[in-house]
Amino acid sequence: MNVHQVLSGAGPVDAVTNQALAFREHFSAWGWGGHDVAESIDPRMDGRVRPLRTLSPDPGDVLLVHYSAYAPRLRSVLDLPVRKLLLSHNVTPARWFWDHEPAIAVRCALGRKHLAEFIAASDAVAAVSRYNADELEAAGGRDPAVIPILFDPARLGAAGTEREPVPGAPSILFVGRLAPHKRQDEAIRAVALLRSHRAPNARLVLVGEPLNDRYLVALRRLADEVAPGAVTFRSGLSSAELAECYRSADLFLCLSEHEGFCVPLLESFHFGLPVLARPVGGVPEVAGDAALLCEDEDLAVVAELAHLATTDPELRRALSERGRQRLERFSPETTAASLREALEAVARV
Amino acid sequence: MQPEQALEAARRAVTEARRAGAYERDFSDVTINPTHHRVTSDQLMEWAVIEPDPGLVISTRRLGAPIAWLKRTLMHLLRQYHGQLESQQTRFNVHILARVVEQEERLAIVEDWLRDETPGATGFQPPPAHDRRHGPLEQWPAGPARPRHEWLARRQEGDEGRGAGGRPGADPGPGPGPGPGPDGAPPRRP
Repeated sequence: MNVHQVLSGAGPVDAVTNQALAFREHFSAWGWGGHDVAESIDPRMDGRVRPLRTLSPDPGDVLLVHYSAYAPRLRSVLDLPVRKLLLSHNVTPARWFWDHEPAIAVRCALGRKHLAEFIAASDAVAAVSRYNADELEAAGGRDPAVIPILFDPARLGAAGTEREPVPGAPSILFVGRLAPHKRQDEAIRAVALLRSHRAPNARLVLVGEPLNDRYLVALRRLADEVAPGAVTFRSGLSSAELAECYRSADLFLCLSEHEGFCVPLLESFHFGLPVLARPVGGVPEVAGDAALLCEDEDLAVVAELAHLATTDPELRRALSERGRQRLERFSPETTAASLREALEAVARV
Repeated sequence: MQPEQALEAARRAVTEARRAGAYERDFSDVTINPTHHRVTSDQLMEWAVIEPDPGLVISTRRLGAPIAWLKRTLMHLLRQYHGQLESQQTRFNVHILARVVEQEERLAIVEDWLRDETPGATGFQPPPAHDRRHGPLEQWPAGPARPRHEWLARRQEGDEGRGAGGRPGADPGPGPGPGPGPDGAPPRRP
């Protein structure tokens, strides 16, 4: 069988691109052929992804269309006389971006609007989480399959030895794009409260590429005002550097208000790091019972939970153990089986 | 402690700490303002009708005068095509602007209506779109009344003698200005 993957853009640090490349390794292992194509390609991809115009599938081939952004030129593939599986990676609602990056807001709004058109032209649809699948159904998709993110912990290396937080100085981590819906501003305020009332030397490390320079400056200003010297911003990290961030953290704090899946939860579980998160989007189904889920909008409750998660040894041990167990549900083998099943079902249509 | 017990324990700790005077400030007053520079409607109006300056066709290379001359010659030869582009873009801009102004006008009417209907309120300021701490519309905090856009104010002053829409041919409205409609509902504009 030949499976061609279609992406809107391809780049070396793009999560969807890396997912497609990981899929390709499995396709090759299964003896499947095909190519990966994208509308726009970063020169650093070194030919691993071909231009969209080179796509010329045979009638029996299958197209796996990764939908993650507004991509008007991808519409041309909808007319190709081959079977198509649409995999939705979720498009963030535009409302988060109007105040900070209107051009992205427009693309998000159009991306969500045009999803129905892509669904209608596909033979089957799939999503990376049940939450995403529900969105697909609401947009007209029938019986969406769930193909979780293919997470390979080997990329980040060994978990390392367990560490005990320094009393009064826990290190708190969040990994994710510095963007309004990720609510790094709330994480900064929560850590400020933690410092004010429980752990005067608590630190927060925010890892992620900023939405733009202005938004980074705004977050820095907020941090300087409410928690001076306590917040570190890092971006452009290698896998080894990212792994070191996880190993040196005492708690993963995710106050994001929109997540289609949230891979950093799995990364935290891999490193045995306790997780405290908002139960939004795909977070509850990824975290299961392995994280502290706090829907209270009162940041004082978040600060107290962070204090408990960094000082109570029994709680830390339980969260760490449950996290490692949870990870087994998202093993590469399990996800690969879901992927293969969905593609073979499309091929039989 | 087991994870299932942690949330309740944290809530209790907050309650007790607040009783002792802690957590008085939650830093919610320190916010991130929109980082995208907002332009006024007047500025949008000035930008809507585009007029590219041919003087901006230059070359920054050393001895670039011949290149600049070549570019200007090409511009001259392509002026009919560029005229088409400019008119298409202007048409789009003007129609978008008309929609924006119309929405601003309708919003101003609803704001007036809400202010009139809310005893003691002097107006209201909608929360940021991403701020989910605010509930339904009626719970939005009151704030200082925002100055009406000058152009809209002039237009509405002109409306008073002409009816609800203020547009040529519009049906005369029931009263001199915008006010609550039947059953207290916001007024409708044609």
